[in-house]
Amino acid sequence: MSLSRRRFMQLGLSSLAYFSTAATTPNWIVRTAHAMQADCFSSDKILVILQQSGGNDGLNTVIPRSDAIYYDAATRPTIRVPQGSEIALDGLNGLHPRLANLANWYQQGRLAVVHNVGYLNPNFSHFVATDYYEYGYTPDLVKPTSGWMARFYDNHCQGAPDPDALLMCGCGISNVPDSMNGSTRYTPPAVRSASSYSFATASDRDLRLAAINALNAPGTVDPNLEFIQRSVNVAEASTADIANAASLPALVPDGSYPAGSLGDGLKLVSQIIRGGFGTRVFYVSQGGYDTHANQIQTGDPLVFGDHPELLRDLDAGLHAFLTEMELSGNLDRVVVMTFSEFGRRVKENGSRGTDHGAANCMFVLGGGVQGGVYGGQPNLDPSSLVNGSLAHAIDFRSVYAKFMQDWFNGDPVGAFGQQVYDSVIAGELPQLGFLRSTAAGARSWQSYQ
Amino acid sequence: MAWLDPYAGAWGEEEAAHLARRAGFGARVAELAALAATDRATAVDSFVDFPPVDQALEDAILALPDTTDGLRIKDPVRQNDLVGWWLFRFAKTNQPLQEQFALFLHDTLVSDFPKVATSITTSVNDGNDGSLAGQRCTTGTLAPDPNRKNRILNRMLRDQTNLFRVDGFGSYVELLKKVTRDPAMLFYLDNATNVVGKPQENYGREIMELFSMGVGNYTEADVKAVSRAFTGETVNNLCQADYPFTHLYDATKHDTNPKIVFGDSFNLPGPGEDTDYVVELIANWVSGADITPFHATLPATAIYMAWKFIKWFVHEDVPMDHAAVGELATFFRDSGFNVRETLRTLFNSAFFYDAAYRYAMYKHPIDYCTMALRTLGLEENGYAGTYASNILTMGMGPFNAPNVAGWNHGKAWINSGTLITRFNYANRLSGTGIATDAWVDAILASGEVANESDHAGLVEYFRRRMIQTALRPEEEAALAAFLDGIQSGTGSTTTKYRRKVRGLVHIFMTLPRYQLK
Repeated sequence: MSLSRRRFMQLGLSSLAYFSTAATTPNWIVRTAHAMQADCFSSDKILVILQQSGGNDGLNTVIPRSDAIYYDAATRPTIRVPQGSEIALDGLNGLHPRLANLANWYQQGRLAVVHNVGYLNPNFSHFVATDYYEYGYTPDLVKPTSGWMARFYDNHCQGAPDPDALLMCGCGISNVPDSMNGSTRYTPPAVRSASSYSFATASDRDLRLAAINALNAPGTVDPNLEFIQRSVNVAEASTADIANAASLPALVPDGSYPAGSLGDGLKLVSQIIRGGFGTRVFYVSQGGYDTHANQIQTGDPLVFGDHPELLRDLDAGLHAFLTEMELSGNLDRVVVMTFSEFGRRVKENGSRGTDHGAANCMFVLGGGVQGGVYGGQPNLDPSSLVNGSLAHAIDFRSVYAKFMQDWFNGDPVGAFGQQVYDSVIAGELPQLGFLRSTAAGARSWQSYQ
Repeated sequence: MAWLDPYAGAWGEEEAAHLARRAGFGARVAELAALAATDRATAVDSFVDFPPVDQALEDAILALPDTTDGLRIKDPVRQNDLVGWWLFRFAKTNQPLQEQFALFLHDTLVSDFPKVATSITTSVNDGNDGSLAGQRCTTGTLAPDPNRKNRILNRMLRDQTNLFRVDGFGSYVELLKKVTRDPAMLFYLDNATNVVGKPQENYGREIMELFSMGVGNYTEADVKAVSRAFTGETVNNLCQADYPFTHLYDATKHDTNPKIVFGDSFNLPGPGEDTDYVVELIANWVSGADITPFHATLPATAIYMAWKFIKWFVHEDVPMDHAAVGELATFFRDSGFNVRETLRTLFNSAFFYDAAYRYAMYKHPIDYCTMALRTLGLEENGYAGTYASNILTMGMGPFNAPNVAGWNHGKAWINSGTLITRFNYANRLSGTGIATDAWVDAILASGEVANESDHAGLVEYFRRRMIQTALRPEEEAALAAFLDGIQSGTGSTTTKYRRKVRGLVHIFMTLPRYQLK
């Protein structure tokens, strides 16, 4: 049965009514409908994945403030963050001055930094490296056919009922991220702009929508057509929810979210969460981190230039989002994980920029986070570098596994295989104590039956 | 040669329509009839052979008013103006392969608006008012122009696509040499700041990874050496009249130490000689990498580009080790990397017409929008603003690829949000502003529809333009139900007729099959 059809029955609405409910459906009806659905993710926990696309310069994000090599004139003569201008987290680490709000969240114990995340034999291509992070594999393995979150879902939710159409969501982006793609049972939606996420008809609305609905009824054998029909069904089943969510008023002043894809995405994520919808995994993206040149403006490493401005937007967006989560009582069930396909070279190049690097830092933020710095300190010693870049100490799959195991109460083995779990993940998990929650007390989806 | 053998099967409207959907933007009814009535080779030639400049199109652009549907197409200032300029070209071109392939090259040799804009902002210091006081330029006179930076930016990106149109159909190696020196590219991948002693690797890496060979055929040491070979290739942003931003080879910034690429040590004395030499090295490098069996004997660039041609024109899921890729790569190398002859061979091949590939590719958003405009005859009717404002949300804004690898194709075009945007674009096309009463009523006068209540005739009218193969029973049933629904309602015969036609425009574009080509 198609998603939309199953949901028509649950809601007791005709297919045409479904199209046209949009913003007029009271939220409590929508919430009731969602609450009726079993959720294999085992609890009401939510993960927000935030992509920093292009390769974030982690060494200018979390500054190793006691490391003489970082401040050596031969390392980053123009782009280093001058000593003393960083915001100290502890004796070893400081945040870029454009991350003042995140520093406050750190002081409240709700931000964790995970250093040295990467993988063995790093690839310096954006696209190969992005594939590793999205599909959750490494150079020694064959590329899987589905993303890491899709594999987790397929394995963890075997036998579970069909999911809510909004179980996952790409927000502020016009593509479904590869990490969520490839499930055999679930097609996630992508919502670039909530305000245009509804079917428009100039006239004869009911008749036209009935025809579109009929044309996209499932049952064709052509896999290309079937994929399109499934996507249309996802759209039909999610437009009313998105419209309802987008009608929720902000809890932060206008302009708190930065303009652009990241701000639009985080704002919508907040609305969907506050609306009480059943979405468990979100994905938002901020582009522009490929800072080969003019990473800073001449003579001002702190305020202007591509990288400080990206960090400013990141800081503003995350702060607005976490504030809305706290004010709405959702903070404890939400964590945000940032990632980038690689860090950048330890030494700057001749263009006030940095070339492609390897290991990098990640942020984990939210009410369920045990704040602090994990993964050890970055080692900038030239003898320890890989192609002039930081070597990794924590495999990124271990970070993913941490969320699978201790946030969603699931089994990482299903997504990564026993061999990877035993040889890579199991040994690293004890270093990743950045979640306060434990599996204890979490419900499995079967308890909803 | 097996896959590339000339196609020997039947030649008729189905085959001609397939060719037109892939090599161009679909065939209008009269065009389809003409293509089907000739032979395959002649039909292919009609797409592949064209003069470098589509003069009628250029004249049409020059004849535009200052503003078209809210866009300054004739003299672009904002990013959307430039987008509108290209979308106008897609809709109106008389040389559709030239525009389709320029889009392919734009998707391969990417430059985007925001990055080049940032570079220009860093470089252009005059305050747009013509004043040079306090600016880096202290000589010369510039006329006041509040949009100076925007015009420079638009001109650079426009000129880059013109490079693709004019030089894109000769030697791909020569095109690579030219794009290496293209001002927008020099900014986009930062080679403008790649200088001796402080090389920076952005262009050196991407030319090998994305523009020629693909990953796995070179080492990190090769990336560094290639980058050094490109030092000194930069942009002339000196204080000449109106900031020309032309290519400049700055010998003082060039690294004159030996470079070793693929084991070949070189250091050539003349201006730009290292650049040309290293591009030739890249294009001809037989890496022997364990990627496909072809890599043992063919240049990696021939393989990678042949594969990209096939993925764009035949099917996005054809794997690199498919025998057809090896055959096309062999032809491409033997032709001296000649794009025009390679595409001619591809469009004539049994491989191209294989039944498995027909209606099996997802249309990219520009296909989706452009084909509807052209085949319905709506390209005269004020679509440009709607088109430009929707294309980005469909995921394919020109000059706005997500990154240097270009757009993701195939299934990546299709999701709930992009389909809603496609369907809403269809709805806008079907509205009275674009599908005007005169346009709607002309269908009745075409002779293809007997009268306002000839439902079968109406469905057939749109089938011939939009699907060009048989409708399936469930498709016919849904369309008939829609028409019957209007017929049985209230309204005058004329009103109901117009509602039927506009509804059919919208609904045909929501057919699952209409997302395919």
